[in-house]
Parts: sequence; structure tokens; C-alpha cells
Amino acid sequence: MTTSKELLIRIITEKFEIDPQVLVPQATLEDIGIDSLDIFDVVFAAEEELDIKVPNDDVKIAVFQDLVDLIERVRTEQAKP
Amino acid sequence: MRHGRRVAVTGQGIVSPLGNDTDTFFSALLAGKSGIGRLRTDFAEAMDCKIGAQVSLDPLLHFSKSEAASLDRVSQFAMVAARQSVASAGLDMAALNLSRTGICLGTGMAGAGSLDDAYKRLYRDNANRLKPFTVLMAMTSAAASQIALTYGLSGPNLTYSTACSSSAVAIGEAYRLIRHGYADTMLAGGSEALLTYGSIRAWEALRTLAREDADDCTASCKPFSADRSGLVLGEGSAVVVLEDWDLARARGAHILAELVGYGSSNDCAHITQPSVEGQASAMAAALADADLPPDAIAYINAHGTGTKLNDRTETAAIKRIFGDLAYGIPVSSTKSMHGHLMGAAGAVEFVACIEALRRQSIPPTMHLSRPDPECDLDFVPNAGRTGVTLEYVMSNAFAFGGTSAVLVARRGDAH
Repeated sequence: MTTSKELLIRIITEKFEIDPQVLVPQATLEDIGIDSLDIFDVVFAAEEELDIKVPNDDVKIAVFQDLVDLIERVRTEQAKP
Repeated sequence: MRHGRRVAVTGQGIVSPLGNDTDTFFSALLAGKSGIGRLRTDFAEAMDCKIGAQVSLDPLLHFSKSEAASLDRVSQFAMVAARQSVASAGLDMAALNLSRTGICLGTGMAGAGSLDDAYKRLYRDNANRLKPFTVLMAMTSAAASQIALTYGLSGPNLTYSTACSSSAVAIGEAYRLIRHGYADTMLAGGSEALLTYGSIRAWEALRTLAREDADDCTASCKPFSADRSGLVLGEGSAVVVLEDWDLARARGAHILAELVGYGSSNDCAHITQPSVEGQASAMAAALADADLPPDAIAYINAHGTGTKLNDRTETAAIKRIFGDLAYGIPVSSTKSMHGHLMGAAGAVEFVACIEALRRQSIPPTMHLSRPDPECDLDFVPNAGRTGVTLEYVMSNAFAFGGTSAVLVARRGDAH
């Protein structure tokens, strides 16, 4: 199974055509070259792929690892039996 | 007596069913080529209407993948046209007072494609969430705002939506902003991208679309011809640069034309049926604004949709204003070739007028094979004219809802 980190690296690199090497755990949105609106788009793509729903209030992302943690947590919580 | 500042047209850009630059576009018009054809969409076969005037544009030649994914087709068209226009004007944004530089754009159905996609997800696919950019792509002001952001235009950022006259209104209102001192430089024009399943179905229901010509689908739009059967939907964008005349001269800009008059009026008659009074009133207002007598006009680019009612009403309105002179003025509908671009129509046809002035040439009304006694002017049937003398030209734009807008332009190199 694809890990949340692998999935997010694929979504972000394909969407924004950036070098995956930029996506280190402590990379800020500025480092990655995207903004908070783009993050909603990334979360949407992850939701679609994983068939999960990330609650609105939970999308608070400062660095790449926050995004990985968020998707991983929601994925675990909403895992289908 | 005219008052206010003179307004120069110094740049133009276009994305159209006849090509994506002004030279290609106008050369096609003069040659009588049609941009109308079978719809290249996955739903065309299911439609009663299988024809349209489509643009060929690869977004990835103009935008990054993520930019393209966050811009509706209507904004992509407008941004490409705006870039061309800024480049052709030789505008150096760093040298402009950007707080006195703005944009006026017209659109009828704005981000129709984004809405269509959203509704498909919701109602057909039973999805319960939409793409995060849906609102930002579909909103009526998206195209103008994206252009203003691109260039840092911090003056007026205005979107006009008056159906088929939207972009003539946008150009006219931008002209007024400069003329009366509220801005120095304005991008102005319109964009439309409504060839979606939902939009075309809605237009089919209104029963105003042209019957497909049995022998040649590219000849289906026949303005002013007795066998006309309606309009053909089209898509595209045109954006011009308008500048205070003295500032344009001072920076050494090449002046393509002078915008000298704008008139607008409302039919107040019926939501779809045009009125002679409304159309004539807008033409009269544009002439008065330009302080010109009717005999100054050497060419009229008609609204000429190809519907029974519009074309005979417009003919009567032209006669109302120009009297016997009407019979001596060439009037053509270029919609016979580029289709009806709705909210972008006024801007695309204004570019046709600028090029007519520049090249001293008149584009034809194509597919006019059967004279209609109620449409008896010189409609420049089936062949363009070159080597003519044009000093002032008029561009008509009328609309469902009733808003008429008329622009009058003068050749740029004459003074």
C-alpha cells in the first residue's frame, strides 16, 4: 500500500511540477512554492484517492510533515473495515 | 462639442475560432473563411446542435500545469488575449502608474465549463465534494481579476455582464474612465467559453440556434440572408489596450485607432426581442458622443446574429439613424465566420473594426445568398473589399435583456 507520504509527494510533484527533493519534512509552503489555497487542492486530491474526508478545521499546515501527519491520521481514523 | 480626454487604442490581442492573433483573424475574415464547424466535444453526437465556432488553444503552451488547472477556459482565453495586447502595445508595466491602470472585461456566462464540471460531479456522479477552485474558476469576475493580478493593475477592476453586448459595454466604460480622468490606461475586452453540454442544451431550448446547412456546416450562419435560421455559438476572447491619447503619444506608442464614441441604451421591450428604438438610440448616442454626423461613418460592423428578428430589426434601426445614407454604407456581419461569441462578441468585432481601419479593408458578410426585402442594405455579400477609404467605423452590439452598446472608432494614423 502506498504510504501517505508517497501519495502526497506524487500529488504535489505532478500538480505543481516541482522537484520531489524539495519535499523534506520541514519544508514550508514557501519552500515548496505553493500557498494555502494550493494545500486545499492537494488535500482534495488525497481525499479523492483515499476516499476519506478531512474535516475543515484540521487543515492547518505549516510544513510538509504536518500534511503527511494529517492525511495519515484521517486515513487511519476513517479506514474501512 | 466633445469634452474630456482623447482615447487611443494602442494594443490588441485575440483568441478566436479563426486563429489566435489579430493578423490571422482579420486575414481569415477578409478571405471569407469560416471558423464554424462540427463541435469537437465528446457530447456533440448527442446534441440537436452539432455545430459551433471553437477555439484551438493548448493551455499548456501558455500556462503551467497547476495554473491551467486553476483557470477556467474563459480565463485562459482572456489571459492569452491580454498578454498579446500588452505586448502589441509595448506597455512597460514598470513605467506605468498602476493605480491609474485597470481592466474592464465583459462576459456572458463566465466560468460555464467549471460549473458544468461541478454539476456533473454532484448530480451525475453523486460526488459530495467539489474541487477547491470551483468558486474561483466559475465566478464572473475571475478572468478580469486574474489579468489584473498578473500585471499588478491596481486601478479599476470591473466585470460587465449584459449578455451579448457585455464586452462592447466593457470597452465603452473603460473608454469613459480614461476620457473623464478616472484612469490613464485600461485593458478592455471580453471573453466567453460556453460550448459546454449544459450551455448548449440551454441554447437549444431557446430555439435561436441556426439549422445546420445541409451541404456545408461551416456555412450555417447566414446573417441578413432570407434563408437565415439563427445564430451559431462561438467562443474566444479579445482584449485591447486603451490609453490617454497624450500619454500614448508621449511614450511613443503606435496608435492603432482612436476610440471616439460610445453609446448605450436599453430596449425596455422584451427579454429576447430587440427593438428598433433601443438599437437606434445607442447608435445615435455613440454618434453624439463622437460629435459626428451620420455621414462620417464609412463602415458598420453589425451585430448581425443571423436570427430572423435581430437582422431585420438592426436593418431598420440603421435606416432610422442614417436615413437614405444607410444604403451607401457597407454593413457586414462577421459572425457569419466567427460565430456569436456572446460576451466576447463586442470585443472581437471591435478588433475587426480596428483592423478594418488599419488595413483600409472591409470584411464580408458570408453565406448571404438570398436577399431579404427587409434586409436591403449593402451587406458586403460574400467577398471582402480592399483599397477602400475608412476614416470612422461603427461597431454594434445588442443583447438579450435589452442592453445595446455601440462604439465608434477613427483610424489611428490619420492625424
